[in-house]
Amino acid sequence: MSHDHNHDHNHGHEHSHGDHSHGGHDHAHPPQRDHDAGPMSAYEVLEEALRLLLIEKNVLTDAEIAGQIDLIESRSPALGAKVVARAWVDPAFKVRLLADCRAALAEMEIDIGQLAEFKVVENTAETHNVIVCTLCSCYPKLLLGIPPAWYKNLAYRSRTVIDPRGVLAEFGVKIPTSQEVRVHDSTADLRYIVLPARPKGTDQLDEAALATLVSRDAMIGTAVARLPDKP
Amino acid sequence: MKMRFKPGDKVRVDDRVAHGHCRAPWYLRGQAGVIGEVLGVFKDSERLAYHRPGLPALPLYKVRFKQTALWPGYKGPARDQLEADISENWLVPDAAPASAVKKVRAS
Repeated sequence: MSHDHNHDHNHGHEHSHGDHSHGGHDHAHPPQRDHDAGPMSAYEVLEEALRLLLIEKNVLTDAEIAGQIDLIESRSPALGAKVVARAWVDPAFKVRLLADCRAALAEMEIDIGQLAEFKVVENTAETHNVIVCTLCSCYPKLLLGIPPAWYKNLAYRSRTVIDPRGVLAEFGVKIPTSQEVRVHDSTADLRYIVLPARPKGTDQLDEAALATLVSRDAMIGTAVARLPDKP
Repeated sequence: MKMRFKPGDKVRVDDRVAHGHCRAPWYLRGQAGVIGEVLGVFKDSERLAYHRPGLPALPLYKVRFKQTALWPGYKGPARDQLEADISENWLVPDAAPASAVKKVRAS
C-alpha cells in the first residue's frame, strides 16, 4: 500500500491466558473479540472473513498476524521523542534531519522501510506547525506508535484545516497572532512529524532527560514540549 | 524526469471531478497556491490503490495556500498557511486563463 490507513479495527486482545486451557495445541492467538463486545459491524465481519480465508488458504498464518499486531503495538512515541531530543542537543543532526529525514534516522539505526517518506517540520518563534490527514488518517506510526482516536476523528480532520487556532486552543495551546500557524495536510506519500521548540531552562538536561519532555501530541503539533519539573 | 513546476511558481489545483482514490482533497480543488517545495517523484497512488503499478510515476509538490483565501471568514491572521502534498497531474499554472479552471469557488 502506498500509505497507511489506520482503520478502527478492534484488535481486542485482553483476555487472560492464565485460567483456561489451550487443549495442548501450541499456537499464537489471532485477534479475538472481547466477550462483552457488541454486535459485529459489517467491516468487522468482512475483516474476520478475509483473515480466516487467508489463513485457510495458507497465505498467512495466525502467528504472523499476531506477530504483526505485536510489532505495531510495540511502537511508541518514545522513539520520536528520542529523535527530537537528539535534534535539540546536536544542531548539525537537526539540519540533516530537516533536510533528509530518512538518512538522519538511519544514523540512529531507525529504518523507515519502503512504505512512505518522512518529513520533519520545525516549530520556531515564527511558526507553529500542526499535522492532520483530512483524507484518511496518515500518521508516522514508526515514530509515534498507534495514533490517538481523535486523530482519526472526522471533527479533528475537518476542523484542523478550517480553524486550526480554535482546535489548538481546545488542546490548551494558544498561539499568538504574531506567530504563523501552518497546517500540514498529509495528503500523499509523506508522513509528517513536528520538531517542537526546546523549552527554555533546559540547558542542563541531557538527551535522555530532554526526551521525557516530548509528548506524542507535541510531535503532532497539538501540544508544546513540557517544561522540566522544578528541582 | 522533468518537473513542470519549481518553488515559487503560482499554481492552481485542478477542479475536475474524479472518483476513486484521489489524493487531491475536495476543499483544495480550484484553489490557488504556491509551490513551496519539490518533494520528489512518487508512484501514482490513484493507480496503486487499484493494484496497478502506479506508472508513470508523478512529481509531488508541497503546495502552500493562504488560509484567508481558502476559507471566507477565517479567524486567524493573514500569515497563517496550509500546506498539502499535491501530484503534478492535479496542478495547473495559475497564469492559465480562467476557462482552464472549470470552477472557482465563490467566496
